[in-house]
Amino acid sequence: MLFLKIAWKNVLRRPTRTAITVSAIGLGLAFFVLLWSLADGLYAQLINNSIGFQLGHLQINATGFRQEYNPKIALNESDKITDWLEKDKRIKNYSKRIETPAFLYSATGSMGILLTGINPSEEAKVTVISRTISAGDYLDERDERSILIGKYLAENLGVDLGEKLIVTVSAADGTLAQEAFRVKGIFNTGVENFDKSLVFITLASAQRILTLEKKVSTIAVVLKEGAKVEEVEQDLKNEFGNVIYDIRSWKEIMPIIVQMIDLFNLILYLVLEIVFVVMAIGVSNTILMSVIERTREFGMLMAIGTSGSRIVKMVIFESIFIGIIGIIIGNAIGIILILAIGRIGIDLSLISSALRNYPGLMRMVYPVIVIQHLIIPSLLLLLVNVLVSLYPSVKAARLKPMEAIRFI
Amino acid sequence: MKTFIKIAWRNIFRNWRRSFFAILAIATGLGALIFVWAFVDGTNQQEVSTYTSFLSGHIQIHKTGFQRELSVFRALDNPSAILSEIAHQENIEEFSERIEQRVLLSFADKTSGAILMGVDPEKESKITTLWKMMEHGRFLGPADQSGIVVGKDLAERFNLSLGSEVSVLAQAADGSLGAAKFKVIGIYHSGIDTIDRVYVFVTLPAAQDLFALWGRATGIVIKAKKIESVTNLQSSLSKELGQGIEVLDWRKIIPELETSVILHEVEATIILAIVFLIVAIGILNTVLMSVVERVREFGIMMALGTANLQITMLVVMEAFLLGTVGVILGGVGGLIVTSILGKRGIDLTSYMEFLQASPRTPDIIYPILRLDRIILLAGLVLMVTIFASIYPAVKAARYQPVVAIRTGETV
Repeated sequence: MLFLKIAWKNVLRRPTRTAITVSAIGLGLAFFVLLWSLADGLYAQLINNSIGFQLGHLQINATGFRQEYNPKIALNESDKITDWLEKDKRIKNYSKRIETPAFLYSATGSMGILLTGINPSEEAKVTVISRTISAGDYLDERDERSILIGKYLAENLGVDLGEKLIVTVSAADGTLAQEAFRVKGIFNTGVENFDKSLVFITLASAQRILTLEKKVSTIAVVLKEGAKVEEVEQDLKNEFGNVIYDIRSWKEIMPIIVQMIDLFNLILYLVLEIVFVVMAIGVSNTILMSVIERTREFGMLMAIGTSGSRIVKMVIFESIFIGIIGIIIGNAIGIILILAIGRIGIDLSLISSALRNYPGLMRMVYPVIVIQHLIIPSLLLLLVNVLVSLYPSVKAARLKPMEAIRFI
Repeated sequence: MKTFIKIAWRNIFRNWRRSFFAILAIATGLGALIFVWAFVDGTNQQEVSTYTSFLSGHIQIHKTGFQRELSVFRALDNPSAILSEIAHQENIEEFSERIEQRVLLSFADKTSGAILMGVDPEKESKITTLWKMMEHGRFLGPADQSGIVVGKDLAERFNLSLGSEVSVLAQAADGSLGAAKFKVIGIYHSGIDTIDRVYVFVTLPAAQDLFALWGRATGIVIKAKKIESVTNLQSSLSKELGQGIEVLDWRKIIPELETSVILHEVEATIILAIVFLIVAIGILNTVLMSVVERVREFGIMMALGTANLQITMLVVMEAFLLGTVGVILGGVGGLIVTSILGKRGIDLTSYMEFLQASPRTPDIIYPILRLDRIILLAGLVLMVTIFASIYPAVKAARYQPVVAIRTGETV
């Protein structure tokens, strides 16, 4: 108990030294915590960018639809599903769609594409298309004969805003349906595959030409927290079964993206490990120096009768005190930085203007606070701190008092 | 001045323990920065080489306008002339002719569009890697005149299995309608649905027959020896081949890959900036501590008549010398470690099991050393060290000699 008191007094006795050590721990930790939260933010952004074009976190189809994209294989009771989605708190938004292969004819060419019927306001909350209109306007619920096409497709077909395109599809009743649509908007996501092969009309017009009445073929779901995707997928499967419904997460639809993201995450972790080691060395230097410089003081204490083991104990208590203060300050600064940056976000296009060529890309990164990612580095650093101060104090305690006093 | 350099140098040796720690902080910081940057560069390059190895290759040569339309009427008129031009380029590892065309594929009662690739199986296997990703059957061989290889998604959609006979319908270059039947000999699965759903492969001669393109091709695909040299290769090829021919590098062929690479580079910049801050704080604290603990010493020097400015200079000089030694050690150390790992590669499969089974993701990262980056980092670290010493140096010069000697405290 006495040593706790002495240790605490020692901490206060040399404010400059304490300040430097505390700031070494605190600032190092603060930026490390910030780095980790940014890494978590980048991970979330990567996922959002991958799913933001078309998928959403989850897709619900009728079984067999994804193999053929046949409009006949539509969802029978989509209302039941959307009711469930409405009630579930984990769901952020969802969008009902009809997807079907179609042929597009202009005066100068024809092209096979994937025709998607959307509810414009719903879809705007799920995918990026509405934000990437480069000419004209996005669709409106009331548009009956308007169509959105990609930039490349417009060039390939030689059509411009306001011009007519003929859409040919094979309808659910088995007939070949044909209808003229006017180009209302042209989108440019920057991803050639999308701009070349996707075309949007309103859900109502898709239902009309495909004779689907009120049916839809796909429901795309976006969650509030991407990490809960497996959980929600399982709940959906339990609720609606696996027989008539084909419920898939983006991870199943695009396994390669999952692998790339995992790889990216792995690399981030390797970098984090290296950075932690570097930070720990920086902190250790400061601590080591602050203990070594006190060898003379320890000699004095030993000369008046303090045992070596008590000196070591005292140093350990001191380093725990300093470590805890440093950790509290470090986490506080770290969290303040994270919240401050989180409020405005980091605009990646400020660093590379080339990113502006891809309007569909989410360019903002927001650091994410994960409690474990605050606690793990804090505890590790406290451990490093104690271990590092142990070494010189044990060494000093082994010296004879006179040697220690003369120590330079 | 000379005296002070001498004194500073001696001080460093006299306090060898303190100097050692300061140098350690600087050297490890710089070494880590060099390594992390090289590692990130290596990862980005690996991403490019993996993605381009599926289908696109590093560079493609077509008649101008072909890439956008894939029109059969824009086939290369005389590919052999271009091939002989390419053959004497140094940086090319392999090249191969291809025919790439939209076709209508039908099987049983189903019909759908697809993109047919006529390839030279032997050369193609040295450029792209789909042949390693066969889920059923095998990839094309030179003798497979009537064989076709299809993607998994397409096979599922058509209910195809090995041995199924699909018919292919296409516009031929002579204006006629080309038609042929092929037997499925292999089903591949790349995991990229825009490939697996769309691309089917036959041999080049079979495609030439189908499209009436005897002796011709629609494009030439090139794999460069080094990805870094692709930009130069592209511009020199496009200069040599002249008008009417488009020479596209991977950035033009897969623009979204370029976005992804830029995105990763930007993210790496942010991470590196913070890592740099962490390194800088470590150095700052070490330097600060080494000055604060020497108050008594400075007090004595001042009592002996050393001027304030001289004390300041001495401290900065010491920091400069320490910084230089640290930067040299860190630079050389970082260089050696990174270049060894750059040769050997960092095997990620031991961290993640899925990488072993998958030819689709990069599994070994080779860090890339760039001299300009090492110089930039070394300069920045040295600057940080010197700046870190200025504040305590100025402060040290303001001590009251008597107070400093007696208490050893700064205030």
